[in-house]
Amino acid sequence: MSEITLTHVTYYQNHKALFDNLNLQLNKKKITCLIGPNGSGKSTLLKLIAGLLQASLGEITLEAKSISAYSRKDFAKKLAYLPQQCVLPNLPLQEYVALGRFCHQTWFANLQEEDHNIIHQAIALTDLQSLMLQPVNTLSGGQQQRARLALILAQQSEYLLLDEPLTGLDLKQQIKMLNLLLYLQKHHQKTILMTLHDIHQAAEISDEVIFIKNGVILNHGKPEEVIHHEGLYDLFDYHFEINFPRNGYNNFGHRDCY
Amino acid sequence: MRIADVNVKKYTTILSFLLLVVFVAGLSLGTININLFQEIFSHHEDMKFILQMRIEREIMAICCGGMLATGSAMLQDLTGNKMVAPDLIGMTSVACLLIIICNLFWIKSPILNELLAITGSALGFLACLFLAKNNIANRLGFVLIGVSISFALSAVMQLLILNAPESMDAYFHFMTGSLYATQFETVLIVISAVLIALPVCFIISKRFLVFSLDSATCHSIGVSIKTYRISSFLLAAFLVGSSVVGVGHLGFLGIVAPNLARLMVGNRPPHIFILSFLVGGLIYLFADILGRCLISPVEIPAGMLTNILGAPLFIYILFKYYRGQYE
Amino acid sequence: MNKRYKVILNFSKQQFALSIGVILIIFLSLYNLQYGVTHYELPEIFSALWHRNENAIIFITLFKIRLPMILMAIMAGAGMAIAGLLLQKVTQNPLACPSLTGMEYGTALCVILVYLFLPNANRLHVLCIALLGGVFNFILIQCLIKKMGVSLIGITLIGIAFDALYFSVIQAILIAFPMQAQAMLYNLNGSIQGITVADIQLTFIFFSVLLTITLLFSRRLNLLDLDDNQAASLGFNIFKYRFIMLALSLLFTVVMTSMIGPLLFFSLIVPHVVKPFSGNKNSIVFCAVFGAVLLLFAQLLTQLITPQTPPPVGIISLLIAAPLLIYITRQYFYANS
Repeated sequence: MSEITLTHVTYYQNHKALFDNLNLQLNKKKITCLIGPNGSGKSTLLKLIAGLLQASLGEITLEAKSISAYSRKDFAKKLAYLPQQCVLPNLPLQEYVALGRFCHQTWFANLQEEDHNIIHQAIALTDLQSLMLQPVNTLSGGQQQRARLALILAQQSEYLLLDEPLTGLDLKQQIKMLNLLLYLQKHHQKTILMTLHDIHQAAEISDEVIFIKNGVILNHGKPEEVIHHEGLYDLFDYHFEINFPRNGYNNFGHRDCY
Repeated sequence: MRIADVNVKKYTTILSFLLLVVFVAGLSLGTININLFQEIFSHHEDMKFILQMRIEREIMAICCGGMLATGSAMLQDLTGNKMVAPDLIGMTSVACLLIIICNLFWIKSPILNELLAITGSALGFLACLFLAKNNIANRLGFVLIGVSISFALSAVMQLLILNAPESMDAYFHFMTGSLYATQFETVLIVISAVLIALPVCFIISKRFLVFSLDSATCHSIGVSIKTYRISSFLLAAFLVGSSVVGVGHLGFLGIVAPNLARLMVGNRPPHIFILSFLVGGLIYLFADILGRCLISPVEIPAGMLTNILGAPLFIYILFKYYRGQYE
Repeated sequence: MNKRYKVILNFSKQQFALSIGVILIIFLSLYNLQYGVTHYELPEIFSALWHRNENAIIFITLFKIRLPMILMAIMAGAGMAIAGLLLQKVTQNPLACPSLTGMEYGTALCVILVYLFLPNANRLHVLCIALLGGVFNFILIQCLIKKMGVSLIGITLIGIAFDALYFSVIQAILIAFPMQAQAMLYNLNGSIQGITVADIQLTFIFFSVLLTITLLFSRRLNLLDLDDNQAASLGFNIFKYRFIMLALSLLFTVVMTSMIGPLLFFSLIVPHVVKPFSGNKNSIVFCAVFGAVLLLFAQLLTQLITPQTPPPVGIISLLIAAPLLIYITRQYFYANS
């Protein structure tokens, strides 16, 4: 069943149509990876789905309801978006992550016990417990990336849109992050749409892969169907030597760290 | 309970206590020194009259100084620029000018003054924003434009007053932040402004945390940043305008008081507003009493004394700021 | 053939602008002679000049009252403009201004203090003491800046803080000592009213000396745009020149301010106004000429607005300068956004 649907979406950028009559359906409780060269419209697509940009034509629906029909807070409860880069403010980590609970709070209420538990859990999942009181703008690049993800986790929305979530992380942190995303999908039933640059990682972790180039979706399907020599040549205009594990994909998930 | 919260409680109690002490002391000091304990129970009419006048003045001083400081703290959080202040940017000048024009050429009405003052403050900020092409990030440019507006309008006001059809004195008080001509109706308006605005301020103070986030994250967590900015700005303009109605153009209080408060407790939104209010009220009250007592019977307008006291304090704040000793 | 014409043309453009400036000075001076409490027509003025009847009212008005004001406006306009230009070159900050460094109000405060404590001081004494005060103020502010390690905005804010401080102290003194306030006759806004012939003589000495020294150094002015390393490799002692230029700027400011009071932002805008037609050469001469033009124009406006009670010229010049300052700031900071 498809939970995020884009129908006949057209979006203009600099007087030119970046997306022209785009149709896309994303399934629930799956990890989908967007792959494409720089400037192909991956970030723009995520922003369109997140509601940051308005499509000129066409409709985007979330769970059969148009995204513009949702109120801001309801939409935030359902969908969280991680921007590609942003400047972090001078707040302690705990308070920064607490901002993720915003959509669940009413006007007057302070953070309840339950909210604090969720915040602590989010910080624990991203391995930042020792840095709780440190201002986020003094953290290292990798720690900042994880802090931003902790904020998204605290929001507890079902749909996660992540724009290059692995930037700035070293190899161990990348593997941990991917494990975390897999855990979220399996045990917390989250639907994840993200952009990745590493084909191998995309192949191992995703249930579906979307190839996008110049605003056009070249291919959309399971990794083993989509990622092959010809497909990659169409996408990047370059001959790649790819090694894929013979015994199928998703052996990532067999490492159950959580 | 974090350490910062303990700090807040400590400073709030100290400041409130100081405020109370200075308030009571101010009642007895002045051109005529009054011994409070005797006079409370006696029936000297003129003493009671003087006491009443002083009480009005002091309440006005605390409310207006506090409101200006709180409004300034809000603007600083909104623009993310600690050197933005209503008196520096020209907001108070525009409000003063509107009030003076209306009083000189049309009618004198405190409620109309209040409306004009709020509109004037909002207009002043918007003019500065417009002239700076909506680019707040460049601090020097923004401040320079604000300073030009402020000075130019002071010049216009001086021109008007020089050629005013009536006596200059009332407007001189207005332009220098003096509490000499405090009237009862204005005190009522100011007190009601405080009672309306401050609770609203505390209720929405939580949202000031999100102003430091970028717009994409704000959108993601479900914050309508535009509505927030506009409503917070209107509240700040309301506070600044109410302060101008009472005392006119103060110097340096808007920059000094919130930054002093931040030096004490860091930048936590609900607490910083309470503390700014207290610090602003205290400084202004102190300046007023000093102005009354220093070379009595001649009175130095409190606005001048806030300039004189405020400039060294401001240098101290810059010192701490550039040494990186506070956020 | 074409190249030669181009060179001649370029040179002419500057000469053309300069001659326009000088013509404007003459015209504005004549206008200023005409307007005032009593309006005189040109034929009357020329006949008074011709006949030189020392006792006629017209002669006294023209040559003892108005002419000193005109000469003062010329010197002050030129002086302040040059002070602004030198300061901008030395600090390599196009938005530097003596008014934003607390110098002008500091000098005004010194003058008032002198009149307060030494009521019988003559102008020369006042000038010397004001000079000392100005230097002291400058050293104080520089020490503060060095200690803090501030950025550009910090320097500006410190200057504004000192400005506000001095301004309030001056006003407080004027309130506290209303008796002497009349005697001080010091206007906080820059006023050319009440300048006497003796003042002109005194100012002229200082002005001509400072102007000569500045013109002598004018060729080196552009070298101040270099950074320290480049200048060292050229064999140019940039510190010495910076110091000299700074001292000249200071002296111009103090002399002019102690005579007529503070002119806010005037020194900042004139170099920018002049830049389009002066290019980078001879900026000193251009600044002097057009500074004089601007101040004469402001003075004329004060006589035209309310001839009976003319406002201080500082207010009018501020009203002219403030929009220009906003425009310059926009161009400088926001041209790309």
